[in-house]
Amino acid sequence: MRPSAESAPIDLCGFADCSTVSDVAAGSGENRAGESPVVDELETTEEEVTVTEEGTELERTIGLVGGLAIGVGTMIGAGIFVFPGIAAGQAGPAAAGSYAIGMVIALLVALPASELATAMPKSGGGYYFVSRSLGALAGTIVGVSLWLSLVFASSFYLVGFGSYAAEVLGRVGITLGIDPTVALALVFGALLTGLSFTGTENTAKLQNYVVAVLLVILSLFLAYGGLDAVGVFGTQSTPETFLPFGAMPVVTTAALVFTSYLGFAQVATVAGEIKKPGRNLPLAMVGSVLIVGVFYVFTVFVATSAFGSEKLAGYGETAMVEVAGSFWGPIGAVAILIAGLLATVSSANASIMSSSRAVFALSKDALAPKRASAINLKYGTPHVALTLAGVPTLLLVASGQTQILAEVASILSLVMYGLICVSLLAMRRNEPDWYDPDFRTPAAPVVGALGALASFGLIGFMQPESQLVGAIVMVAAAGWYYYYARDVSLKGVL
Amino acid sequence: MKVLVPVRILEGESVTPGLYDLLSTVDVVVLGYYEVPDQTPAEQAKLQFEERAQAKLDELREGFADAGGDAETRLAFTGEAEQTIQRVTVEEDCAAIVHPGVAHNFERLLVPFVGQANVETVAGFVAELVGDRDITVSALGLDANVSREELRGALDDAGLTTADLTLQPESTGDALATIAEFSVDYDVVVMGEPKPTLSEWVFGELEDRVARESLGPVVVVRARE
Repeated sequence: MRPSAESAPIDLCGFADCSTVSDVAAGSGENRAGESPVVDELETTEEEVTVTEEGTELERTIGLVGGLAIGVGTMIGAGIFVFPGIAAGQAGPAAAGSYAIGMVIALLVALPASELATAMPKSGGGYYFVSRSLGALAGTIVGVSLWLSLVFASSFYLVGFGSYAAEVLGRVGITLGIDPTVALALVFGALLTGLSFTGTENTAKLQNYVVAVLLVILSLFLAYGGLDAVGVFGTQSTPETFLPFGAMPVVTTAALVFTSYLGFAQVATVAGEIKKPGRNLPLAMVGSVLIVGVFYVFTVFVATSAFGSEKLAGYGETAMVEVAGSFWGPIGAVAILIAGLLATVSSANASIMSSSRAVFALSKDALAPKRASAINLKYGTPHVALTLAGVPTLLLVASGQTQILAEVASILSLVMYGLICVSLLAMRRNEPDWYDPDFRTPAAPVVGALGALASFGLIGFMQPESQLVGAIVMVAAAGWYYYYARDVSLKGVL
Repeated sequence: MKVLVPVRILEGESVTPGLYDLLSTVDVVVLGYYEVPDQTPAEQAKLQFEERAQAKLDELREGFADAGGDAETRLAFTGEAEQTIQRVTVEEDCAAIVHPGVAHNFERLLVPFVGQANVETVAGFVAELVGDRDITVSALGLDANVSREELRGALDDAGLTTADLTLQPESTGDALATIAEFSVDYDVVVMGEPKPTLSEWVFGELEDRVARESLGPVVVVRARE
């Protein structure tokens, strides 16, 4: 199924073919509530600040390390701490190949996304590029998909957190009358949303440290496990059949674990806040995919070498705790438990915050009511947008369906990724005057086409239920556009 | 000579009459800023609050104009106020940063010398700020490494021959309490930017703590290489 390719009438004619650049210099049209897109004044982007025409300054505060931490911090929670057991159960040791496939697809999208982000370093990321290159309908579909994909992803991370927290309780010997995973995920999700309302000043800095701690724990774990797997510690494992179930499950597993790569595009949602965007955006996006990809492939290799995939699958979401326990006893298990809790929380938190930025971007362009981006002066936080991110997240957590949540998050993101690649092709085919990216994708037509094909193609390997939910979201988004904002035009509006 | 007056423009921070008058002898850059938490893009805050902030800023500009001075204004939305203040200070090449505080008069200046701040730079700044106005300047030597002769010499060289000078060497840790104690009797504190030390790193910058302790404005003269 490739819903977006059919449902979105993508206009590939480029810019100058359809209208002259001067015609499209301003956003126009009104939505149902009579609101028009807020057109940005001419802006100059400098290294640490964006200056509007009126002279108001918007500080850029996130450096390269911060950008990498957003990307890595969002991604690493799922790929290492939730999926290895499930993936090994489906594809055997070749699950490492599934992760590698995911990395290649992510890179094929990260390069075009980097180019577009340096040409338009604005809040909203993928939504922004697609709406400016392909118009308001494609923009609405991508914007709504981005918002909900992050909602699905947050709830998936929270369920992952719940599994780890339940494992902690189980080991301490506390038993609850109810399913602890979902209950703990709900409580913590509510806490996280609540905290975000009051405004947290140092979560970004905290995220940097959390990611650093995680990478250290994982590096130690992988170094030991890698040496163990090749027999240095005298317990060489019996090599398992690499492809126990054939090649097909490797691809379907790649589709499942692709959620582990949703995060590099989050860097683009804060593009308006990144210092030296021309340099740092591409480095942070491509760099974070490479870092997590290498960690994922190694982790699966180590985990399947330690236990064999069948046994690993039996441990489910918290399989890594058992692996660490087999290396270093209780200390190893505790270290990975702590790492898992940190990683899933940082992923969930980053996703809720990015999700609220997607709502802001839609509302600024009059594709959603202006009220949605209101900020309260007391805490300085966008309480409506945060509610729109937090409340649906909690509802989805209650379902407790790890795999469906993950796949829907992936599908909605993949549609955006595919359209980002199409946007690159459209931009390159006929470059408008204002298009001046600092980073240019090498072999852009090839990378863009492959990225689009791979993104849309991967959707075809997901479970039918997930595809259905994804299709419903996109049809609803298109319906919303026709109902609420069909007169809004955004193409080429910078 | 320019000074920077950073003001948290939407959170009720303002400039009081004494400061308008005190700064009428120098060029003033008023930086109105609003600090957003991590949840909020600066752009989003700008959309909602820009007009209100600009109106407030225009009031401050008029305040300086009425006092006979001259002020330009800048408005910034930022996730990191410290970074914005630093950047604008360098861009505008400001000689000092003013913590606004509350001042109704500007007759008595306390000038504590502490933390190996550059004595000549501070004395020169104070002389230019005071000009030919009738303002009492009291220097307070808190730095054990700086002798009375050195301080007196610097004050006299800058033309502050009438300034009185008290010496009370203290370790940097106690300097804060001493300044707070003295500042009760003064309208404004002018001090040099101290050299970074371990206690600064632990407790925050000395000048910020002085600004919190003393209710009046604190003018921090930048250390420049």
